[in-house]
Amino acid sequence: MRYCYRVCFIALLLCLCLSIALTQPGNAQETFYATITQVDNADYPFVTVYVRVENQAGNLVEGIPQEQFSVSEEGQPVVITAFTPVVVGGISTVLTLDRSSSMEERNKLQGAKDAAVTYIQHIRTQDQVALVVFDDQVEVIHPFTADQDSLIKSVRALRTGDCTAIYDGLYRSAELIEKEAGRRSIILITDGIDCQDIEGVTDQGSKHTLQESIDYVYQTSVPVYVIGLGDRSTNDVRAGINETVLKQIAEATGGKYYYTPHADELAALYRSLAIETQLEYVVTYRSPRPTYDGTRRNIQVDVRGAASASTAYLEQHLLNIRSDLFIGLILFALLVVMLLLPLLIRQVMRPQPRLQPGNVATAYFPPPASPPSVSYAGVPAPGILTCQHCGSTLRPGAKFCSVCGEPTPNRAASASTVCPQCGNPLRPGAKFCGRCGMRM
Amino acid sequence: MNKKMQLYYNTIFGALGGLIAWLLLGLFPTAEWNLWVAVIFIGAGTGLFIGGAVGMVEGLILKRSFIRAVWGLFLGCLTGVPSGAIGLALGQAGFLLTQGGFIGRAVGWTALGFFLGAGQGFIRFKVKRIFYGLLGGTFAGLIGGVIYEGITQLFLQQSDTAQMFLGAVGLLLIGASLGGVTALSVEVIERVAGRGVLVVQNGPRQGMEVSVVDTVTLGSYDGCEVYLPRDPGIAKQHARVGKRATGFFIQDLPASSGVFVGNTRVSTEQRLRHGDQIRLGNTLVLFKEQ
Repeated sequence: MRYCYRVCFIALLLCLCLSIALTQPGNAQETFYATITQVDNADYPFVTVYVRVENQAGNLVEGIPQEQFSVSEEGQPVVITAFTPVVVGGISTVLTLDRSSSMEERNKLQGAKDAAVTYIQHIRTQDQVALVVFDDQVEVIHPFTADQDSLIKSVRALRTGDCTAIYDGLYRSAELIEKEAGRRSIILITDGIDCQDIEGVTDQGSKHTLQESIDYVYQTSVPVYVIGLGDRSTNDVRAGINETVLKQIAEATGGKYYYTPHADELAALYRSLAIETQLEYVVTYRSPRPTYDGTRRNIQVDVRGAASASTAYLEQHLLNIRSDLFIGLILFALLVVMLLLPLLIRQVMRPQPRLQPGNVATAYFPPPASPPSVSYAGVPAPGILTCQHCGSTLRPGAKFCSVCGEPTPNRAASASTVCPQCGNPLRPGAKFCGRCGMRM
Repeated sequence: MNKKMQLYYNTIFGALGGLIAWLLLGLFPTAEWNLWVAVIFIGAGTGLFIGGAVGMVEGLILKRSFIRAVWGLFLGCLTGVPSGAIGLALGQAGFLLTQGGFIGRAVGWTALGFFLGAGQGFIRFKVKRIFYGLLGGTFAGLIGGVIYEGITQLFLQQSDTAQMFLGAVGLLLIGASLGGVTALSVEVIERVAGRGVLVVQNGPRQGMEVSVVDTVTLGSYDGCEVYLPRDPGIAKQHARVGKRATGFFIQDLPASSGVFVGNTRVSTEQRLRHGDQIRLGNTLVLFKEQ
């Protein structure tokens, strides 16, 4: 019995291990997060969805093929008609330039200016750049603009100044970019020697420490791309470069460090920034219910390996009109029948020939000049009456038509079964009509 | 023409106007146009046909005067075009703002009804009528919008044909509700506010009911609210019945040959009470208070 328990226990343990082992590969795969940033239905029935895919670290993921995307509208899978990964929106960059006296050595300032100009030449109309320079003072030379000429002019005009305050320059740049929306980056071009760190110099250099600056930049979550200039082979304070500090800044803020890059390296930096910052997958499909009905539709986007993202859009038509002659004629006929229905009902309800209302008025009321007491007597007035049935002229006071023998209004009045004025049936011997009040 | 039949014909004519609007406007591929161009086009067209159709009911059915029918048609079209265009444009904006659904559709249609109803009221050139028309139209739009959205949701999965029917039904509903519900709402509002009704007892317009909310004129001129033709004893403008804060009154107009309430002749003006029989020429008109 004990043996039996033991076998069961081992079997259970094995099952557990197996199940863990089976689920492991799925967990091992990197998890992505998909977000729908925008839905564009201006080209309805074609709908365009902008999807951003991030990994766990919050970085955008590129290179996901179309096959890994599946879209459904109102639960119905759709066929993707177009798929492009694109760079959308603009990038805000602060170019932070070192113009300290140490930059004069070995043509470092010229190198910094060239790097800045190369970068500026790459920006597009939707991008913007601000220019911050520092020696022992920090100065915002140019606020954010997309005007390349004006930026390049400002860069070219730079002259060297005093000691270096890198950390303050960085701090100010972060302050400047903090308020900007969208994708942002700081490019710091320097030789990396802050006067604060030079032995024997106490009253010059940054007021903020390195750690303070890094902490502040980290808070704004703007990556700093550092371009280092200077001679690596020397330890000389003025000609050399402090790469330890520069690498620290780049790494701590999620940026990258470049040492004396060539123009094409800077172009590549710009491109990588653009891709890394604003890459979105633009997925277009045709709505499976392409009617202009003004209803809300839910969209769900699944990216393989990512939790699905969902959103909704509204088809815009409050009222859409598309006619069809056949349906129109059916409805038209229906309405015409309804229009004529009351007349038909009246015909069916009262089959007996009715008095001509005009004739009744003239026949039963004397001219208006006569006093009202007489006018209600109901005495037939002189006037020519015609037979309702055959249309022949009647003798005044005739109760029947002399041609066809039909009863005349006079007969109807004398018989008093219906009110001669309104056609209401009367009680035998009634002196007044119950409906219109006519005196018999 | 009693009040119930007026209501009925208003509904049918409104629906007919809506149907014609659908048939003709549907020939244009408005769905592919710019949304706002399409909205103004459809709004103006809808206003033109529905306004015209409802506008001619009074002349055609109540007064049975061809000239009045044509005049009503003209005025209905004239006020319908701008009110329809403005109404649908604002409605569309409201629809987008509220993100559609029952609320969006109701908001959109209410705006259309509001303006079309106000346009209908303008035909009478009277402030009270505009106000009543506007309230009625709003109510009509609200009902129409909710029904339209309901039908849309009900036949969501049906294809193109359903959409076609929906458009037809939609405009038919707008027309019918503008014709019928507006008239019905006006009826309700008038009753709540207190009104008089004149019922023609004999003659060619026997059974015609006209409500008195401000002043109405009785006469053989077809512009009179109570149009009594073919009675030689009735002047073009014979008498006037009106409502004041103190109650209803009747006035004898100078051109008339006399107006009688019961058996007494009205000298210049007299108070009217429920059940009074008015006689002008050979025609009897019953006055009721509601």
